[in-house]
Amino acid sequence: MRPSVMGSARLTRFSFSRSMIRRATSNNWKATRSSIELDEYGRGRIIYRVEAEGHVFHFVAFTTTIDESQHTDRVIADAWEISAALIEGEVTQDLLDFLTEEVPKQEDSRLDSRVLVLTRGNRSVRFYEYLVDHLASGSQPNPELVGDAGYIMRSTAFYGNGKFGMRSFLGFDSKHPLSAPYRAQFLAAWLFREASYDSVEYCAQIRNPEKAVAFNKEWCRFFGLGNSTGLGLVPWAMKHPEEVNAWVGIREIALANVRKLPGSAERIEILEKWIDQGYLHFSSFNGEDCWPWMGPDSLSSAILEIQNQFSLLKSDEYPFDALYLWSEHQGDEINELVVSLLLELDETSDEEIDQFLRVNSSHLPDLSLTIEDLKKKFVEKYSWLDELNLESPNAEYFWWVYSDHAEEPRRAARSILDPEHREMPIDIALRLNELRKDLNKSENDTKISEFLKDSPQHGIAINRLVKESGPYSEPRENVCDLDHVPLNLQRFQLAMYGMDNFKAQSTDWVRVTLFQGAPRITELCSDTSDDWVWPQQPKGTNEDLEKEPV
Amino acid sequence: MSDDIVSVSPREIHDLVQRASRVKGCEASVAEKIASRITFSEVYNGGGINSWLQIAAGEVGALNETFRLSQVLDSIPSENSSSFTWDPPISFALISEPLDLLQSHGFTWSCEPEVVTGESLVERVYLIEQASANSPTKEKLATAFSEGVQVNKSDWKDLTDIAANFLLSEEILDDAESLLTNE
Repeated sequence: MRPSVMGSARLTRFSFSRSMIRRATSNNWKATRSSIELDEYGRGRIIYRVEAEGHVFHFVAFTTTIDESQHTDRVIADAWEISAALIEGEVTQDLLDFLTEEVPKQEDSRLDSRVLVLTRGNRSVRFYEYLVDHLASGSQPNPELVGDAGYIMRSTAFYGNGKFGMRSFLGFDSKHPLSAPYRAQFLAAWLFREASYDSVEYCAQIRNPEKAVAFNKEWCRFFGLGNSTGLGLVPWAMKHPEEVNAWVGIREIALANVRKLPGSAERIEILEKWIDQGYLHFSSFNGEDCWPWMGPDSLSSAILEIQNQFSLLKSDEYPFDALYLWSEHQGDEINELVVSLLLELDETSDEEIDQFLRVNSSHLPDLSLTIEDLKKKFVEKYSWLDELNLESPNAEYFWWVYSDHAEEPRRAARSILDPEHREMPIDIALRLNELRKDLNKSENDTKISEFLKDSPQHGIAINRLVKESGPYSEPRENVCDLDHVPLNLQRFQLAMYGMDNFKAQSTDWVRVTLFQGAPRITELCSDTSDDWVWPQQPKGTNEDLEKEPV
Repeated sequence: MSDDIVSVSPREIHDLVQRASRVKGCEASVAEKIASRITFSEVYNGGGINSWLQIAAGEVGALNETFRLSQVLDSIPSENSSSFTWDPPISFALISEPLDLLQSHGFTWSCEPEVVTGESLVERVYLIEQASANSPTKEKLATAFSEGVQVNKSDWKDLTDIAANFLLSEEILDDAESLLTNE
């Protein structure tokens, strides 16, 4: 995939937030709040229990308040207003004591295999107190003041899969309810969002038991969970070709299937419903473009254009293909918006989706391969390297490194800092380019194992070349190039997670929301539909609008 | 769990050995291979981390050299039976993964002297191609994923301390970023 296409991706029905909710509803998961012990400032502890397909999970959240000056979006912060863990099993007093001690330490904690996910975040400085005060006084928020927020709390990391001693997800069998990629993290994120709602409503109740109200129907699903993401997603994408292949592949296969569908009244109605929902969502927000992406104003205009175009094309024999072909000439963002809408027509079952996304990255090397075999693979798989200008001085402008503060991935200019031994080996395009040059100096019948004895530095590139990771496994870019824009890879992954409202804060850092519009824990039932995404901003009442500004 | 044991996940062993090997002068591809071998050894035989620490404590370049010596097992032998010798002996932790791979290609193996853990030193390996060679089992890896791997706490701390030098100071990175912005 071209980087600019990856950087235009939107959430789809394959996104992890949606597939998690679908699995929960279709398998009758039961989620309840086990306990809530907070003071009037929201400091204390909240525990949720989830019973899912014979397994029991708990989300244990510890909350406090910190000074506004300590709030930061970056992963390196030292203090958090909420820190939490998702665990499998019952919460015994011993385990609770252990979590109370370890979870607030975050990256400095030492956990064990009972713990699946570790997370943390902060309240919205702008809105948390405002929301508590309004509910405490018996009124609902003013949408003009908080409607653009989209969240009450903002997370920054969901650690899992063996970090800090936690359980490795590879240990789950395929029937385990959290065995699909990121399902554990997204269960944790959904419960984190629930905790943000409960925290506000509970505090309001403590502050004014006589008058306090809960969020009304307009607001009770509107807020999602905020998230802020830095450069960490780029190394992940470069180190996980099988996963990238699966994430792109499932969309591409589904899109190809949808494009082949003939028009039918039912399908046309479904697509028109989604187009309407998208229009109502984007047009209910006001917002200009936020570089490099379209904002709500442009997106609502774009959806109107899509709507108009589809009304012209819907009588075609293959109207969905026709709409896609039209969108190919409208720029990457509109094209990807159309893809996202069309994928709603896909009928791949959740079991098939989960199975497709559960990839096996292990690889049994073929010890018989020769240099000639490698040269052929270059031609088959990596001809696009020639388009990257890898011999230019700018091709090696940046190198990637982990900082000593929370191991935050960063990039540094080679002209300013010498990498020494600290370079992250995610310079895949450069490594492949060097390998190609050295292969051309070698005899064709030389075995790879012999070649590697003299040139062990090519191990990573050879492994990449010989693994059959799939046609979409390789982001076609050089992440060390001066002109590399990390936001593209970040957005693709965030869209796959199910995040939306992309607001780039720089070339390296983006804010998003997830689970906006999603059902609350008490709403989880087999009737819960999958069309909860793209909620409209609440309109409020005249009374709300007259309230004091924040 | 006893006080001198800590439960870690396989990926943590891999990440730390990979980083620590970089700190000790290994190129990224070599460090990656060493990390894979040590993790395998720790999971299946124990003693992988301790072996790494012992090699890394030796002369400069000891890790690179030991890895180079282990590479003789990275090819399929051209003969039905063959043997390889190391003098001085090589740590089993560096050769247990390639031997496992050869076993999956139909070779049975034996070591001299007989190996007990990853720390065992091997003077000679015998390989025999046999149609009936058993495929290696992966049960220990499954257990390691589910329950973690129990490793010596002191070894873990030593490895963590060395690996920490793979990270770069936040302050230096911030300063470099400021310089770049001002360029």
